[in-house]
Amino acid sequence: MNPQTNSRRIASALMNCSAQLLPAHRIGWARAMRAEFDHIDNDRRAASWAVGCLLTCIKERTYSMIHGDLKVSRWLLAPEMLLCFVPLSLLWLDGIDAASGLLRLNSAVIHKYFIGVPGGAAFLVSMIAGVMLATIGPIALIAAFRMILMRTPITNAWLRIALIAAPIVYGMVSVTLRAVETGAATFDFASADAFDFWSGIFLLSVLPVLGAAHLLRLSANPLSTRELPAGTAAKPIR
Amino acid sequence: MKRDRKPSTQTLSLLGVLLEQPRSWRHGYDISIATAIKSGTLYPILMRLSDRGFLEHKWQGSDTARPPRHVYRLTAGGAAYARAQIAANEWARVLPTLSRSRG
Repeated sequence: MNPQTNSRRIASALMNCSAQLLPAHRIGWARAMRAEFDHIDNDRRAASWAVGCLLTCIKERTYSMIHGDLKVSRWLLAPEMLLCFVPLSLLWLDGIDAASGLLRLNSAVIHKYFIGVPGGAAFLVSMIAGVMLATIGPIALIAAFRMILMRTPITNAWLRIALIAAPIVYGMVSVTLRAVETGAATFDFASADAFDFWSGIFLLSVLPVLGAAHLLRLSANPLSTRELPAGTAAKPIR
Repeated sequence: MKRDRKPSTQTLSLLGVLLEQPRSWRHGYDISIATAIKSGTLYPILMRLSDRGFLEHKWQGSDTARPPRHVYRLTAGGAAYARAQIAANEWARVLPTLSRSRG
């Protein structure tokens, strides 16, 4: 074995990554794979072995997350929660404090730009409703980081419902309004603004729902460990 | 009701190799070479077999300065399972031989 080659170094790093990915109850297997790796003299075969081991560990991690309690390390949960709830929080902030945000509105502005304009009142209502729904973004961020930092689960039933319902309602209302506005073209993914609209739905509705579902799942099972619970049915051999 | 799924070709190949010398301990890399199964497929199968009690494993010290290796062999139940599966999939008997000829 020549530990100096770049190929060997990269393969060794992959083996280290693999060990980090495996669930705790499989850690002995990570050592087994590593031991075999250390006995392979050919660098190319060692690299191939390391890639295979990495795939194994990804499979096992995925399996344990699907069949386990979805608990991940706090270092992974934190960026996940940011990704899921920061876009909604930015929308809320924009609706509140931007140049045309709710805080900037006064009776003169409302009469000039909303009441006196065709469809303006409906737009104002939808803007206020959007801001209200988006309020769940910062609330979810606070709840998520409270859980990450203090391990405090979300137990309030209303908050649990709101975390899931608000992004769903936001998404459904957005799609409905677009359907009213553009008709069948709503689902024309080749249209010029389709990417903007659907990426917005993904960031502001789909991701928050997924993040909230993960948070609620973790809250329902706060004491479990990263590994599969004892007695979990063995995966069928295929 | 729990249902046994039909083992994959790779699992049958692995069982066939382990069944050739059921009382011998074999290393993961050795099994990989003998079956031509890559590590990314081999270890999930070994884990599943071990989970179900068909495979026993231990650490075996190395003569060199290298670390001990994990070695495997079929349990009595595993050997019976292997025989039953291979008998049920008669064609799989030739797989270890074919794999070696490829390697």
